[in-house]
Amino acid sequence: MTDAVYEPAYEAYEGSRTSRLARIGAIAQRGLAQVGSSLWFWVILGVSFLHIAVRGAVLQIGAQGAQPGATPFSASFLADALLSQARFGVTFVLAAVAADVIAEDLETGGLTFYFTNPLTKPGYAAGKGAGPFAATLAVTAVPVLVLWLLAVAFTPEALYPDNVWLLPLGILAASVLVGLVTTLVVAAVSAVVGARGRTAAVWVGLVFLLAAAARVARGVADNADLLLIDLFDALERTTHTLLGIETSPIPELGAWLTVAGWVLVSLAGLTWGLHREEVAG
Amino acid sequence: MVAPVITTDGLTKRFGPVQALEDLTVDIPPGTWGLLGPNGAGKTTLLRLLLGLTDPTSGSARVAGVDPARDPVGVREQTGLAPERDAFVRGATGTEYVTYAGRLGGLPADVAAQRAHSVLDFVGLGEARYRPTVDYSQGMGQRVKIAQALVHDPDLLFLDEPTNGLDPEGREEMLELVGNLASTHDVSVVMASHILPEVEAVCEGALVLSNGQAVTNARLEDLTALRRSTLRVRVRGDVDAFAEQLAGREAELETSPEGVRLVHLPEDAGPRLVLAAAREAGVQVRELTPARQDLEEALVRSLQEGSA
Repeated sequence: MTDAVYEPAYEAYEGSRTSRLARIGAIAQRGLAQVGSSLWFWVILGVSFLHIAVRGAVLQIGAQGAQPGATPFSASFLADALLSQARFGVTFVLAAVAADVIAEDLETGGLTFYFTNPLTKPGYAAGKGAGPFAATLAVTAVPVLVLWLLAVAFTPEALYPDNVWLLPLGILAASVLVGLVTTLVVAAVSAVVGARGRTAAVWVGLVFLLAAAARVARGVADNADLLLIDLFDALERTTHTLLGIETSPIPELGAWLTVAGWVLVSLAGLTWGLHREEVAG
Repeated sequence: MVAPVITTDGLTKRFGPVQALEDLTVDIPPGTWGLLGPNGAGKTTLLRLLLGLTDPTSGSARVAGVDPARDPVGVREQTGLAPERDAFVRGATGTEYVTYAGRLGGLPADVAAQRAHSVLDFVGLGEARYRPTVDYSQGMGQRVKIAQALVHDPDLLFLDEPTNGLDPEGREEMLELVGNLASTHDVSVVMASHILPEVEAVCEGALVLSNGQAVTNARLEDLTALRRSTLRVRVRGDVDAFAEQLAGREAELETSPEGVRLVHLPEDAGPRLVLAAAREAGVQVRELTPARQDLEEALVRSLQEGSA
């Protein structure tokens, strides 16, 4: 029930205003709270740590047995863990917590709310992306850094890889790259599709269909370069580069160009999705 | 002279081949001002331009001293909008929604929370403030939209059809609320509406738009002023003969649907012309007074003149 209109009850505000960055921070804070309240986020995070625990156990068994062929502590070992987390953990965590990030505002009129406040569109997008981006780091950087710690703890020092102390930086950089690019792609899908629920299906479909298409194309043409059809294959190559691994069959320049292409297309999609609302409104 | 709170100079907006707003040059003074016009007149486009949500094709505007095309964020620091359509944040209660709006408007978190309660009190949302906005009735929705637009203490508030979907009692309360804003707080209000009595009830003046053009922009007292060239007349006798006599003197007798007879006089003519015509026609004049046009009549006249 509403009450009758009260006597004037609010006063002029004479204090200082927060910065524009702080306003973006307010959106980010709300996004982080939404991620934290998502049951799916915690389920995927739990599965991620289970996955890391299994890899850690395999590593320990390999180190204790010191048998030829046992899994060694290496950059490739960590990259494999990170890429598994990227392809599955990031895909599903973004489907759970990011797919609706802009679509929900298109549905509820929230965009009008945000854009009639003193915010820019890039500021809005950055604030909205912060929560999902943090979620990607939670399922990539955090568990893989834990795995690195386990590896350092359980592996004899003599068996450390040469760049052991640089690996955390590489893991962090690769995770940030994966998180930024994938969050941007999902935000663009969300803005273009503009309907909750459908966005998640389009995103997951995009990831797995492109992966399948890349493998089929590679098999038919016997050309590893065709793996670049898939965003995550491109991110695999950039991850290897950032972790100092030179064994990937995918060309490095092509991988960076592919990632840049996804970023540009996503920015265009995001801009179009937000502009479409402006024209419609 | 009081500085206008809104100034536009040749403001024009086209969407492809569609001319949404054409060469609008107006000043709107502080206070409560109506923005009137039929659907598609350009009201929403004008609001979007004034808020810096879209750039003009040509021309310029200043809102609360800020050019919205050059500093859209700056202009939105000085203004608030209660939009016509729902503009909610999923899952938020009224309090959370308004607090969030305060933070986006530039208030520190603790101040935003405190002011959210104050403005929710002001708009009359009692315990309902703790309910999710998605469960709100139309009336509560309109109130909470005003609260979120007010919380950061803007100098100028835009209300887009604030009584849409409200029952008569809700409309009355909403208009009381809008009236309170201007009279008890130093907030100027621009209220877009297509309901004349509402504008008449709370606004000091109105900008009337039609087909993207300003038809008139004046104080209501000027819009509804006595019309020297029109007289209200009541006669007894042969009305047709009276009309003939008037026509012979280049005047016109008009009978409104309500049965009120108006005489439109030629330039520089006065009541004597009517009396002479009555004498010639042999009718008795029972009443002869200057005609005051109501706002609806003034608006229709303005729109007709605009389209001509």
